[in-house]
Amino acid sequence: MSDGPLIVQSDRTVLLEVAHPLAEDARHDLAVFAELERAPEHIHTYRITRLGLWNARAAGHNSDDMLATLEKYSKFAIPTTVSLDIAETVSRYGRLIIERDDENQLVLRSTDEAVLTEIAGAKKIAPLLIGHPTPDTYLVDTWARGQLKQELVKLGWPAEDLAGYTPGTPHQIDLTLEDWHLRGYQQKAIDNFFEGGSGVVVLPCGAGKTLVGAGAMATAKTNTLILVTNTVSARQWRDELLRRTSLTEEEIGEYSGQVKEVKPVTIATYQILTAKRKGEYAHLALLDAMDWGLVVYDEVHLLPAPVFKLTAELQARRRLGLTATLVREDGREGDVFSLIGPKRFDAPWKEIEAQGYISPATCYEVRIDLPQSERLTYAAAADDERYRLAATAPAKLDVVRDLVARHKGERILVIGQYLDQIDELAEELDAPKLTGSTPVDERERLFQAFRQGEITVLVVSKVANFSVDLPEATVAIQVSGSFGSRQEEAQRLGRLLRPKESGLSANFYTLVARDTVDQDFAQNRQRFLAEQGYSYTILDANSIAA
Amino acid sequence: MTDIMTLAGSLRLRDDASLENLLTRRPLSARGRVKDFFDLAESLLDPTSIRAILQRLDRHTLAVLAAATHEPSGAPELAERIGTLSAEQVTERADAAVDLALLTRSATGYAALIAVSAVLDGWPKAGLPDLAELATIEPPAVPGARAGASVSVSDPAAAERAFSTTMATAELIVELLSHPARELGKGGPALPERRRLAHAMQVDEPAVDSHLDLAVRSGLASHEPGGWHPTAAGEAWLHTTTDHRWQALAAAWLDAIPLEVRSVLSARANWGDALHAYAHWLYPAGGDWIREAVARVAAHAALLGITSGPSPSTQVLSTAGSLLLTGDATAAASAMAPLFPAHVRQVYLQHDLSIIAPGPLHPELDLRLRAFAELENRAQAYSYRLSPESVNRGLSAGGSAEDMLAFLESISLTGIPQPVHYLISQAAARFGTVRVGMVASGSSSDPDVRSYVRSPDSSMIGLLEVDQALGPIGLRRTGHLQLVSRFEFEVVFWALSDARYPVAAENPDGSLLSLRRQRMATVPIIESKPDHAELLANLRAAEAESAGDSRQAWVARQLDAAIRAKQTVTVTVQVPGAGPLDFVLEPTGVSGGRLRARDKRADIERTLPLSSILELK
Repeated sequence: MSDGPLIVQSDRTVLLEVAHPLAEDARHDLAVFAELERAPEHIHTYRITRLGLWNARAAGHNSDDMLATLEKYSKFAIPTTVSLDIAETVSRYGRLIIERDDENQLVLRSTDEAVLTEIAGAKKIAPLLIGHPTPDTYLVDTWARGQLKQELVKLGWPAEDLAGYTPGTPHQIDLTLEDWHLRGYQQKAIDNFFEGGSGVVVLPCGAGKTLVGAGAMATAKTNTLILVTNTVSARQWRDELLRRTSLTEEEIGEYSGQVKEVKPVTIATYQILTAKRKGEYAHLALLDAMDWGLVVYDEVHLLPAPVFKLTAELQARRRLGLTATLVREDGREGDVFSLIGPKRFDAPWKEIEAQGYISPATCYEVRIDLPQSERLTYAAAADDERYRLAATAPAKLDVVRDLVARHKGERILVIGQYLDQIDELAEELDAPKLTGSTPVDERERLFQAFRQGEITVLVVSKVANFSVDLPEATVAIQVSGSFGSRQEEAQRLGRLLRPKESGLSANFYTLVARDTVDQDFAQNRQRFLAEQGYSYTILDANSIAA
Repeated sequence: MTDIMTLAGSLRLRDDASLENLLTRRPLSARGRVKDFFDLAESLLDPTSIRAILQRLDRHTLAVLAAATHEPSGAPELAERIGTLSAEQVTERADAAVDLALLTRSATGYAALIAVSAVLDGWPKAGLPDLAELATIEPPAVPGARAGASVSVSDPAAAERAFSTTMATAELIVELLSHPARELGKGGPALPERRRLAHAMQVDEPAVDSHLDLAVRSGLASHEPGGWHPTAAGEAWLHTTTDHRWQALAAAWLDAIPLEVRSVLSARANWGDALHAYAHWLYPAGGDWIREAVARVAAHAALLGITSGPSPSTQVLSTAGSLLLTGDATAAASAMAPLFPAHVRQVYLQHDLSIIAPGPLHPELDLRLRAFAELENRAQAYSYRLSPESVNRGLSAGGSAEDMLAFLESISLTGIPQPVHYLISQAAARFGTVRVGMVASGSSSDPDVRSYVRSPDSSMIGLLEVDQALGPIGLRRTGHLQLVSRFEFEVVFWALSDARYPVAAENPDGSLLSLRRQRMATVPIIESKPDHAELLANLRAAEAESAGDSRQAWVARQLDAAIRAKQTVTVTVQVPGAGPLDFVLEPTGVSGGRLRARDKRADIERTLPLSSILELK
């Protein structure tokens, strides 16, 4: 125990005092086995979870190392319940191993007979085991490799998967490094991934996850299936691969609602993969259409539940998950762990930002006083009407105009939730709008024009929240939109975090009607953004006009 | 002579202190029926009463009782019969048994009362030890010394538990201060109260009871009909540091332990199963009583870090626990203090409106901060959060933005982030624009009106009038700047507050009123002890009533007892001209101042005037 920067608490949280001289060292060592939960400017909160401990164990760390880290940096004595729990949890990983026997059959092996007996008797595991050739092994049905891992994690006995991967059909892929190079942390992420087998790389928006994917493909040099969230994202992947690798248009296929191409590198959307016809998944054949040696899952925290089921059957193929956060709002982090693989690399947002790879964003909440007439209308409205009235208050329009004027010349995104409000904003600002009904080609054209500076103000609906690269946006003004989810907010902010060639810092404004439900959402938003480490300032609307 | 007569005779000669002690140690089941010393003796000789007190006697005292069952014997003879006690030890225990009305003491030695002997004679059949077993069975062998090497492990673990219990108890008192806990008719806190307390204390719901018990025993809370309330001592306790808080709890724990159990505890360093085995040996008739008493005491001891161990069955005394059992609570607290996380006096203020104290915040600062910030999490560090509601609460309690900001500035390591400054300033600037107050009974033409809402801003009154969210409180305009409601002003206040109006409650004179619900127990009742004074007064009064002819009254009461017991007694009678004569009689009735009895030797029935009876033996 020292007067260190960490406070280890009995509720399994660990607080890090950022200003402490040893904070950086402690953060580095702690991130190995604890998940960063909140990172406001002075005290960061980490949580020690089972998955975090198993991720660390999978990366070769043992409980003694982890406890030594805590001992080294802790301000107070480590609660005994925490140290016992760490030792016990870590010891569970690796006692079960999935591997192949001499006859290349899939087996579950353990030197701990009691554990093996316990899990073999479990109701959901017994049907997956088809033989018991020796006291320390069970034969596993080939198709059940993923499901078995899922169930074992649920029982608290994660298996180490050493059964290997099919190499896939070789395909030459190289990075074209004439005018760029992989950043240090990107290369480290790729190295860790290959060392570990399958798994997840966690990087913030704007930190170049696509390049990590490209680097992994260039290392594997095999047929690759890339699964992404939507078509716009699929095309951005294609463009990026064409620019950064030796792949040509003929070698990259798109498999989406619009196009159905299967090529050595195929980019498919989650949506098409989970589309059903007559109650059956209609495009499952894609998974076996080629002998994939690598499957890349983009935005793995958004992976739809049915894809987990499909992924369970893809365990013989090497899998790379890419995401900005391991936190899933449906709580299925365990499935990511067992089916995609353990975390192989994690970089804190602010650390990468400090290295200059993503631009810092400043967040502002602008409080707007509604005029008496609007206030009366709001007060007299029923609960279900109030949200819309607050969100679309006409008083917000003047403030948007003032903000656009204040940031004249910068690339500005105005984000709204209601179509009539978007129409009104577009008209008032004389700016193009982009909504869910805008055709894909038109969307791409508008984004392209925005990137090139032909358009400086773009009014967008929620659709722009998904992974669309708009690196030159320096201002986002959120006029309406509930604080729907942490992911949605992260995406929204992600629009502003991409590296800025202009050198301008990014500003994120949220307009809030005072004394309305808007203010409740704002409170949650403030908390989330500040917890992510962003500075947060509250302004009165009249100070903008001034 | 009968037990009753013997015992009643000795009881009436005792002083009040001795009787008080006896009544405390041997509670009476039918207290209301005890009118005089005969009733008292009869009650004490009831087999149920005897079994109850035998449960609480250690085996050495029981051995003395068993040895004295059949004939009066001196201490040396009893010691010889027992074999494992010296004459002095026997004397000490025999005197204690006399005080408990189990033995009589006479010139011929100590003798067990017949009723006591009868109960002890039945023990072997009930599976309890006889004299030989009481005297000879050795205590269960357990390692008595604490292994030095384990102290480095067990003491920090004990301190961790002690810290957590002390802090949870502090949260319990804070919660009770804000809102007393209601009790269910069948006992225990009502479910919503249990949840509320468990949440605040960060313990499992079942653990609430043991903490309430601890708080009541320590005088920090009182258990009154209907629920639990904090005491003034409890509130003062919140202002002390963790080690002092712990000391108060630990000392109260020790004080609350029955003497019999304390002797068991101090005899063993290893608790858990070994403690139970030893307790069973030492109190062979203890049964459920000793089992439950030891379990409860042991559970509290583990909570307070007096013992520690991986499971309830493997507890050992901590260093602080050992010191406490020697009676030195201060030394125990000094041993515990360095193992607690040290108090801090500075905090981190952050943009997300959280306030983090990197350790337990010093109590005075903690209480001040809680006046306008919510405690959000409490473990080794404390985290608080500011919100419009919490700041309004601080303003309602008389705080000002300047005070709050100055206080935060004084404890913040990181200055005051803009959102914090904005929140407090805005809340203060708008606070009280809407005022809510009580309409005094009879002061309104409408008898249903109970509260008013006023504001100097007529547009605000207009808003309140149409606000759908306020529909349930039925606001009605009665003037340009005023509304009224038929609901109590507290209800109206909270409805407006929930709807985000800058509301303040006010007294009739316009001064601000803090609506934080708080009620203090009026009298800090720690434990109710039966009051024996009244009973003693009645006993003495009954004796005094017959003071004019006390000898005759006493004789009549003795005869009455003999009649009921159908016992033969020796009656000394003053026969005119013949002097005192002894008759061996079996009394059958007393009426008209005369005794009727059968003379056993002459085999005739005699009638004697009570006035001629000198003595009964």
